[in-house]
Amino acid sequence: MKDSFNPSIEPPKKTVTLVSSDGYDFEVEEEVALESQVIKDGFEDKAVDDREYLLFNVHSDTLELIIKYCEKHVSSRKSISAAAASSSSSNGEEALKEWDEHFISVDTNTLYDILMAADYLNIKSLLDLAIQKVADTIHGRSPEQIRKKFNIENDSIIDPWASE
Amino acid sequence: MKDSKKRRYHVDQLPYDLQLNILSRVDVKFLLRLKSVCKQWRLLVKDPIFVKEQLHRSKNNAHLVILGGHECSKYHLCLYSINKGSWNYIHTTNIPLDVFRTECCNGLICYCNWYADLHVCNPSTRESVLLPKNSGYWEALGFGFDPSANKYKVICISLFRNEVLTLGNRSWRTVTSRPAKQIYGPSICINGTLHWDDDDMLVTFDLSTEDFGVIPYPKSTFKSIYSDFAVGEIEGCLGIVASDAVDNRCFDVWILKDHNNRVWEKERVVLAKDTRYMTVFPIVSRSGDILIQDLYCSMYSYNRKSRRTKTIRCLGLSLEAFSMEKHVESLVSLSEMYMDEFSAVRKDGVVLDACKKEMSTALETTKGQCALELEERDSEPIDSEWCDVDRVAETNAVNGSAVETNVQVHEKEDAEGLVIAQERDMTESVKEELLPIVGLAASQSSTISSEHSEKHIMLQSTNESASVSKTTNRGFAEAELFTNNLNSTHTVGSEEKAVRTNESTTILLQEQKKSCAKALSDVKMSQRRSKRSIRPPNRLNL
Repeated sequence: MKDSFNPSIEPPKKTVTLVSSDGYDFEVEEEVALESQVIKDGFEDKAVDDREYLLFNVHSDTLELIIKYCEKHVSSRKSISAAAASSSSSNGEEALKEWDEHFISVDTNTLYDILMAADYLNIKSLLDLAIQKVADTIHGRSPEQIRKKFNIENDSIIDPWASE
Repeated sequence: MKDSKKRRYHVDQLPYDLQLNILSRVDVKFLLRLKSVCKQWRLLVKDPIFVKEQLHRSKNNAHLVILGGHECSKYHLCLYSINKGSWNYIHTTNIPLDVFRTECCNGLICYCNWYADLHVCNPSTRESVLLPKNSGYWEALGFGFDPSANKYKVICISLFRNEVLTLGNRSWRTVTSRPAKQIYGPSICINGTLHWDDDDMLVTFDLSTEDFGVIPYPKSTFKSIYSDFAVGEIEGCLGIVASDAVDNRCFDVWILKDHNNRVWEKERVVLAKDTRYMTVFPIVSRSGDILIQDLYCSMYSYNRKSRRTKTIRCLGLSLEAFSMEKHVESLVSLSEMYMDEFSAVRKDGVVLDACKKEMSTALETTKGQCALELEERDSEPIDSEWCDVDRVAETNAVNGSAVETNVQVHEKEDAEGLVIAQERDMTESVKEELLPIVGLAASQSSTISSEHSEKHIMLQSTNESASVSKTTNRGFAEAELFTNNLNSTHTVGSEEKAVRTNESTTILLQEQKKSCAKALSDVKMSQRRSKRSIRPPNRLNL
């Protein structure tokens, strides 16, 4: 009974196994996996001992990145709340923002993978980040540049009024 | 492991809601450009759900409409935003400078010029609508969005009569409800209710129920304790920013937190510098700033969160020359609102098909009539026919010129851009339909007049009779009859024959042109109808 009130002794960490679309297993902490709303919802329905999730739409490369993102966010959230509790001013949030920016600075294909996976796993903060990145990429570019950047085929009919 | 690198991704293959989310974060001026990236984006940008989402996002990013010029535009109003304590020029609108009243709501600007013409325009998409005339005199103007009906409404208030126009409708309605006080000045639209400030109270007008109401000021001595105040939207609620009558450095911000129970929240603001006789613009930009202007035409922005005041760099315009409104950039489409009127035009494929059908039947009957007329005329004595030649030629000329002018008028209208795109398309295609016909007729007449050959006439009459779906036998009979007639008048001479040939073709031409003119005038009628309500987008800066 006494142990449960002592914060210094942590309970054994529960882990969850995530299986990528190409069959790789990723063992992550439960806390990290719960960043995904889909896994969180599934968690409540599932039996306690069944802790394997097949993610058919997520490739192992992408899943690696996403786990990295979730781990970082979980750990930094902890440190921020700890800093707030000790009322010491810290720039944890700004550091996290910087980290996010660095994290999302990837090539277009990877960005798509992250976007699709974040949508599939319903990780709101990551989805927001990826969407904002795509929107920023679009911003200020000409249609021709956008087509090139995002592999969009030009299917517009030549509009006689467009030139005016 | 690395096969994901080989896959080619296409942003237009993303789920629709993701695309919508991405594009709603892009600025309006880039969005309009994005329409030409691909078809899907073109449709997406027009989607009402997208327009709503975009508007919701850009609400936090308000601009100011400045009623004043700019060095690059002497004749139109410009949009500015305040960023980091300085004015940023955004773009020039298509609103002329000679306006004296503007009302802004959801990216649309309703303005009135000195000729009392009311216009509504969206400066971002450059659409503009000239509203129909109302009964005339009015004192107060209101413009707002009714979220329950998803409609925009304009209200003109005078002592005698209050009239409301729903955008998309063509006529004004008289409202029976009357305001408690005579109201003047600009209105503020918040959550489907218009507000006007008055000496003793705020007069409201509910856009969905179309009833006037009253909101009393937070204090009965409101007018006496404040030297000046302004009403505006703060955090989605009605807000009053009032400057203290005694202490020049102070002003109060009142926010109506609970509309039903009339719960006001007060916030006292003390400025560092003595500002005298200030005017306040409760314009809240992205960072929650309130604009203050003092007697010496200096402008300050006050941030409610950080409680700091910033001096705004001077714009370089005399302050009397402009007034300000809060404005957000949006894609709210005016042509979409007036689409009901053009629903027939909008399904352009259907209408065009109907048009084509009508025209072809008209041509068929004309041809038939021509053939019959030929038949009749052939049986008539030659002398009477002779007398008619000049007259027919004359009418033909008149008709021909009528068609010509019709086409010219259309081209001119197009040049002025007095039609919206759909209609333009339709006119174009109708013109395309018509021009070859006129051309064909002309070429027919020229070949006939040059050749004067009986064989040609026979062929032609055969064609005509065939087009009326008569038997070829009859056609031949006709042709023979015609030839016989011609033979009988052979003695008159080849020149006269030529005239006769011409005459018979002129009848055909005349009838064809008549039908063309009819079709054109139909199109013109529908154009004229639309012209009354829709003004074209200014295409210069598209």
